[in-house]
Amino acid sequence: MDEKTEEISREGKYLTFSLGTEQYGIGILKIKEIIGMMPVTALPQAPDYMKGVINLRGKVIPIVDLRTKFAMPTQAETERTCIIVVEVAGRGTQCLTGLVVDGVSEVLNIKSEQIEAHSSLGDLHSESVLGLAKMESGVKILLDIDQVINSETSAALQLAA
Amino acid sequence: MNSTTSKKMTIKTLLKMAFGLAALITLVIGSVSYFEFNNTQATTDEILSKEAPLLMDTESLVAGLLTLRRYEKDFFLNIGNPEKQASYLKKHTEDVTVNMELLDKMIAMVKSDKDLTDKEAQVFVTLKKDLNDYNVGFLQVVKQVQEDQSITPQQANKLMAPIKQNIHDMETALPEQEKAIKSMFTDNATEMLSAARTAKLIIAVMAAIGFAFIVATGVLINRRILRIIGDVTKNLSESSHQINGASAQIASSSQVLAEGASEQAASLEETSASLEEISATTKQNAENASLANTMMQEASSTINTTGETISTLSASMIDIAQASKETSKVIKTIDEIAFQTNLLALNAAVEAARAGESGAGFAVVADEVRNLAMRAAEAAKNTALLIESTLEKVNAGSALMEKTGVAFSGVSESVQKVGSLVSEIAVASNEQAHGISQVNKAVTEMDQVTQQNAATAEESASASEELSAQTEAMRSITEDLIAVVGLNRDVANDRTAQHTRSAETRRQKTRPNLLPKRAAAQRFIPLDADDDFVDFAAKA
Repeated sequence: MDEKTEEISREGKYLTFSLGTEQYGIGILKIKEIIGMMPVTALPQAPDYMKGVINLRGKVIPIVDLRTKFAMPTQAETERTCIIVVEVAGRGTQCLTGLVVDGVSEVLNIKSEQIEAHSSLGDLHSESVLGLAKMESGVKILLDIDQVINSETSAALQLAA
Repeated sequence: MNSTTSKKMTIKTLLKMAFGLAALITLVIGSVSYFEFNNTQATTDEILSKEAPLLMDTESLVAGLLTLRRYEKDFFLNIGNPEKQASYLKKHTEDVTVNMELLDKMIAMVKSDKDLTDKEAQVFVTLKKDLNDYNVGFLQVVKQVQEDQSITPQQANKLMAPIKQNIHDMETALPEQEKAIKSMFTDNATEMLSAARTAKLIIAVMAAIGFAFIVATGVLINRRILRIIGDVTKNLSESSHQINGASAQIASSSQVLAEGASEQAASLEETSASLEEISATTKQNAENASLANTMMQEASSTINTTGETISTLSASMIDIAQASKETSKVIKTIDEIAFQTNLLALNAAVEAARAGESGAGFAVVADEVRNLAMRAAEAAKNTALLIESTLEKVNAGSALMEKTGVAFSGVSESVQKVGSLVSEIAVASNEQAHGISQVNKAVTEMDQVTQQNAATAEESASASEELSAQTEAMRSITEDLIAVVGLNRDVANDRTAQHTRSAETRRQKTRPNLLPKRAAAQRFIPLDADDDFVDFAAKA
């Protein structure tokens, strides 16, 4: 993929959500649906970011605590805590995964000129970050959710950083 | 004689004793004289009434007997002449009767005379018997002669011989008796004379003793009375001077007292005026306190009402808080609904995006829905904030209300206390006003008393002046007394001069001061002769 196509491919609609003080964005086509917080069944011997599983209309889907995943201090659930169900491409199949976030914000249509390429961020390992969207309401961190979920090491690397 | 009344006799006793003794002496002299003269009189009486008549009667009897014998002879010599015989017989009989009566009288006299014994009386009884026998015999002879006229006088005389013996007995007895009576008469007279002499002597002696005693007593009494009166006069004079000084002091004191009383009266009037002012103030106080009490009661009821209002308000605020909570719940529900709507709108947006170009319109709708949801959420959030703020304010207000309520109940208690205090003050003020009016009354009475005091003091001053005049009079009386008693004028003047000295010198009554007095006294009382007076002078 050349530079241009990458640029183009990044342009589009993003669902933004808050995590701590930061705003993140996920490409809207990755999103399956947004649900409110519901009881999570914890799994034994799962990594600490794996909160557990939920039964979503007959389908059991794993739930990832994105705060833990991003090595942020945990926080008690609020009324605004939501689960964003995303389709993650992993191990050859599309599988659904729930992401626990502090709250969903809005669907933004972000232009390519508003996006700063992650290469400008220097040595920072940024496989999970697509780029940074410079919006009027603030900078949104656009996540490559596949990378976030699949790169087991990303969390460890981020921890090391 | 240090004291004329205690150690020695008083004038009264002295006079009593002297006059008593004089009377006694008079009585004794009189009694002795009386008894002596009585004796003399009795003796004289005896002589006059008994012994003299007896003597005279005896002589008469002797004469009578001689006459009797003459008539007897005449009778017998006239024998043959019956007329003369009858005349002589008759005379004879009469003479016998007279002599018999005389003898009876003498017997009675002798019996009543205590000096004569029964034996002497018997002499007269015998005499009477002899006379009687003679008469009987004579009458028998007369009878014989009358029967026989031939009897001669010689014969008749013979016949009379035995009978004449009786007359002879009488003629011998009578002189003896007369002699005895005469001797008794002489004895009595002698006795009487001797008694009279004795009486004269006794009376003379008694009179001499009485005179001497009365003169002595008189001198003694005179001396003592003079001394006593001198002392009394001196004391009286001194006393009058002292009284004079004292009355002067009383006069000045009374004057001072009167002035003081007047000042006091003035002060009391001022006090009275002040008290009236205080009384008025106190009454004002009482009225104000009553007014304050009423106002405090009103305030108390107002505070109670306010307290109730605060309670109601507090309840209302609690209600408001409740209502706010309810509203908050509703707002939460609205917020949840808005959140869910937002989620739904986001999901719709996600679906629209997936639908690509065909979902573009739907995406717009979803966006609009999401906007509405956001606005609803925003509104709910604002409302929730407002309600929270309201709640906070209501809570704060409620707390303040509670505090206010507590404060008000405190205020209410305070107001009640103040009210009771004010009512007590009102009562106390009334009592005080009453007390002050009583005090005022008392002060008025005191004022009257003080004015009376002032008047009394003035009266006292005038009375003391009167007293001074009286003492002056007393001094003149004392001088008169001195003159009357017989002290000479110089002495009196000396004493007066001495007593008119100032009070200071009068109080310094030392012995040297007494010396002139004594010298003055010596002019009329011979002090040197009386050790007692020296003693008195030393002790006085």
